[in-house]
Amino acid sequence: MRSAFRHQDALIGYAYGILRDWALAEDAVQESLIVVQRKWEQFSPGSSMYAWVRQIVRYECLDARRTAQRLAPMEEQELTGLVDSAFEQYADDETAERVLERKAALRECMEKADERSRTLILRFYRDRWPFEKLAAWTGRSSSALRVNLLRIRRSLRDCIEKQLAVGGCGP
Amino acid sequence: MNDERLFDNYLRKELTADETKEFKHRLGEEPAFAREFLAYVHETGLMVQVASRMERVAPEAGSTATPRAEQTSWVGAGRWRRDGRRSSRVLWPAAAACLLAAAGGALIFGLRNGPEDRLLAGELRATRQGQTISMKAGERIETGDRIEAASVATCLLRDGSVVKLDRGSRVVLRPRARGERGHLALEEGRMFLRAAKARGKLVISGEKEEVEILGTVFGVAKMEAGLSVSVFRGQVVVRSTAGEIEIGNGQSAQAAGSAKPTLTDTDPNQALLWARETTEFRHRPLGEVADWIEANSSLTFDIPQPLRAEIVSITISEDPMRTVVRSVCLACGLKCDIAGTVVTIRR
Repeated sequence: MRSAFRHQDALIGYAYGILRDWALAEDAVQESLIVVQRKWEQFSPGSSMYAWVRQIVRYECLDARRTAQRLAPMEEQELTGLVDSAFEQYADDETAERVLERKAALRECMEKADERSRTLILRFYRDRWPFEKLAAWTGRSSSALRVNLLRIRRSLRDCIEKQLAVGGCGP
Repeated sequence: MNDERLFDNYLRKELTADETKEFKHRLGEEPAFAREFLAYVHETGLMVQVASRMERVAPEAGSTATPRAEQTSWVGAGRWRRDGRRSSRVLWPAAAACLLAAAGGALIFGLRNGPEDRLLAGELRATRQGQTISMKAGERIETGDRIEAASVATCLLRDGSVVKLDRGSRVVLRPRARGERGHLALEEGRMFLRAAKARGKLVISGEKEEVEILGTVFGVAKMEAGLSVSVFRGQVVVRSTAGEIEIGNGQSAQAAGSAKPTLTDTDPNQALLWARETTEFRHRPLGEVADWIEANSSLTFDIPQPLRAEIVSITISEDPMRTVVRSVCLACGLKCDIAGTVVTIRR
């Protein structure tokens, strides 16, 4: 049971990839974990826990999408269907474990980031300021800001790789 | 186009027609692209999660611009800052929003232990038999634990009810008295609860006040004196030593010690300010936005069919829902009247 919770970060990532709405993705995963607890006996020991729970998350995402985007065009549904297939094909238990490792490393890297970068990251990812608002706040254009955020992400990514290479972080 | 920008545009629902075509093609045909995309999505998820656990930062030194959100956030709701600390003024009466559907009936947690109370998401510090324990998602909360939310935390109670605690809120899981299926004592902060349909009473108590849940979605906040309760859906009984009051959909009440509970004019929709964060609608039909607001508040819309197709972009964040509705109308150049909980939109 604990391993279902262990994969929570990877599952939220999956739900976010499908729903593209953070609140909905978190809700879908939480709903799924409730279902997991009810259907626990149906899990076949020895098979992939991550794949089993992800399947449950998938149904919750479909439900959430039906509720939130009743008017979504077919094109949109086709697009998220493709994304779902990509997860099906390329994301496995190892991917879920990697997400866990990277989270610990990212936490350390965020702490180490310079104040300016950290502020931007927090405003954007935690406080969910839209580009326009963040741009107005920083006095930059939206596109310059976007490039800046991507650069910060890249440097955080480098930092994560270094952390993982030296074994600085465990899950 | 740079792949990262393409990924980003997908996640922000901003892909153009050409980009959509390219994205779809490459996702289906290029394994390396698909893997990179998956890594990017997970990374974005981690950025949100890790950033959400970090403390609020002060504006940069030398920055003269004051962020708009900091000027306006919690206005009306005010007095409660998202960092979980109380201001010197009165606490914001918590209200409710739709969090997630609790599973009906009792849940089975593990095969051996039977139903248990568990932390679903977020971080808690629990004081158990004099020791402080940091709890992570999936861990069991025991009766008698005094839990403090280190971040916004969601717990699943043994009866299937879901409780969301704001950062800094403190709750004790009291032993269940006869006829009770759950009893939480709110010592500090605020909580949002979606009660499962089950037998027995579910009780939230203050020092001398208590709230008995009759099956509902609602919020409770600890005030300097007493409790403040707002019902999003369903009904609750608010009780003090001097009497009780039953409140339902869209109503709020306050109970303090020996005074009789009274109705207040707090709008439960404002619970969205903390229980649900920002939701963005980019180039979406007005009807979809209205449906979402209806599903997450007590407001209902009256919009002529052709207007439902009107495309709007709106970010629903820390503003009261009524302000959001007015913004939608303004963005579309529409006339918007809000009477009670009914929103009438005309051209």
